[in-house]
Amino acid sequence: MNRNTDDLIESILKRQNKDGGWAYNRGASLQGAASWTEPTLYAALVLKASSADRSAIVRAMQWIGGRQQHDGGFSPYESVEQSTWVTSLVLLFSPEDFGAQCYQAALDWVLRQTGQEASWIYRLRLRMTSQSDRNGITGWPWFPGTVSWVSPTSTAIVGLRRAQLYTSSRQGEIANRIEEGKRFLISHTCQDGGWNHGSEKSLGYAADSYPETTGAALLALRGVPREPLSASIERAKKLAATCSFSEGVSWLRMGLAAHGEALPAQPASGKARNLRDECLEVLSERVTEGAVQL
Amino acid sequence: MAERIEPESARISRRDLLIGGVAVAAAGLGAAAAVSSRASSSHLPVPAPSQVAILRCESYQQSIYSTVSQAISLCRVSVKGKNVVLKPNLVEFEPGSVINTNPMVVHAALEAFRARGARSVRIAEGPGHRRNTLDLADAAGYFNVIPGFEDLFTDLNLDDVTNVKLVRPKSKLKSLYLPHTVLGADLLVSIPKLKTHHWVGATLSMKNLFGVVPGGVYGWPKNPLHWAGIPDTIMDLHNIFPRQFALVDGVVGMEGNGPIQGTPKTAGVIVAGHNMPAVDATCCRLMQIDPEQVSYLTGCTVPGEIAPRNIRQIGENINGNSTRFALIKQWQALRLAGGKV
Repeated sequence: MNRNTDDLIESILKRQNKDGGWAYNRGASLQGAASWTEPTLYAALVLKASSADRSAIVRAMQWIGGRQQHDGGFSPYESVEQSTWVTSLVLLFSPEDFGAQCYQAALDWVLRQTGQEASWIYRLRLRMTSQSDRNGITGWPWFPGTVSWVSPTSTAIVGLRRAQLYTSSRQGEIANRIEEGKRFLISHTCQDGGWNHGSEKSLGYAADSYPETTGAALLALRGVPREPLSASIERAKKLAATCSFSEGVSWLRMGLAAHGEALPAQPASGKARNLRDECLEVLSERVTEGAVQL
Repeated sequence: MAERIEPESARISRRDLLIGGVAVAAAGLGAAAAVSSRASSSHLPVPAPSQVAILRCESYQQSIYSTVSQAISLCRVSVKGKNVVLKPNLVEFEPGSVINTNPMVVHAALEAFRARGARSVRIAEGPGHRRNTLDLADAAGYFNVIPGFEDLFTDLNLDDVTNVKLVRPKSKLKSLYLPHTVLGADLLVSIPKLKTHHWVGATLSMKNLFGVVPGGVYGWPKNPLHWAGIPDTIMDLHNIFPRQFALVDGVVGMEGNGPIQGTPKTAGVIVAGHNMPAVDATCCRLMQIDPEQVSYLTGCTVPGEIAPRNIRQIGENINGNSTRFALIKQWQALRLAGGKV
């Protein structure tokens, strides 16, 4: 950690917007001061896991509640009228935080989402270009109507895992989607063992993995037997030893912790660049302490 | 394992009427509310020849500052009192590689526009694969080269956004959420790298505009653009911004399987101009690629508009400065016949 965790939490708390949300960026000198759903959810998650002022969390939940769309999903920004992947992050909270109906609607929305790779027309297109359709195994897209990628799939798996604790409905469906999502991730492993955004090959060339997506995928793959993931865990350790940026180190820390591993002794962590990075730093610490389970 | 295909990345089959423009939905963005008047069709006359400047620049040394300044002077760019936004191409963490626009070119542009009296000059980018834009910029050398970089920079993936309706779009998109920083610019300066591209043949100043689409809304990558058709969305984005300037980093470009996995290729040029299709067509010819085979270039211009006779080269000429960029087998048909430029 670059800074004391309590200082970080205090700093996060101070930057709550008047509307109850948080912006991505850090200070007034930077552009982009309006509240966004993702940093607000991360900030609220951090505050929930601390002894911070509850009223800040309540105001955050109210702002987040206003982002719910008619289809049950959540939009990423106040003026955006489209549910996106951020809905999966809502599932990290409990039904009491948003109200049981709102939570259930978000869960239903996440379960309805599949990538276009599951559609027959996309699979046909792949076959016509002599590519494997991977049996249509699907994860989650960033944006409805497109194909699945590693980050939103990892987030959805972690969110659904959390939802299993809170709901008695659709348990079989939730378990099936989690398992299929894990298969999606494993089928998109890069040659080096890690994960990038989701294109492990491009025109026949192997692409390198990224620290942040490797950590996120390993976190989502918690519970998968170690053997098939041994190359991935080794890759994560190598990436952590050289990763120079905060976001990557935080995700690797959480991903390795999910498999009983710690970061190398001296990760080369850089400074947090925005509020999301800061929240991930705190969360990764809480996850490794066992105070938060993702 | 199979590759992931990018749907709708194929050709444009018609050169039909293209009238682009935007109507900004939200209030408070006066500069962005202007509607583009760019129009062309197969029955309209070819516009007056566009000027495109080519300047020799052999390496990323101090002399690049005077070269970039000279390019801007040759193109008579007037920015006094204007808000200028510089949009480089940042893609991947690979220090020392040629994936990203070299920071010296961006810094040279920043200083040149400041010296010409711009009210503000900001640098802005929204990478398509990596979320940690500032770390990416740091790894690409921007913090080292450009003093106070962090205060000058906007991450377009996370900037405040407004919905912009597309008027007669070429793609399936009806509207796009776009960042305030670029919508409020009096002049948007696209500063791409001279690269081949495995989905569209070449990536230059027009394709570079994919970086203005916010990942915070559309994701990483900005997959809705792929699904709406890459060439078509390139044209739609080009039509949104009425005041553009292109400054291409062609000192060392990328050939082969660009824009990420290709190999460095020295071309030794800086290319600039107000008309992005004309600039990109010139860059194609400098790479010995036929721009009239690049679908998004023909799709946004009238027949003959990007022919050599309709682009007035200033500074250096193409013939003495072209370099044969290797093309992957899927794009061999783009090679200029007989090496003619």
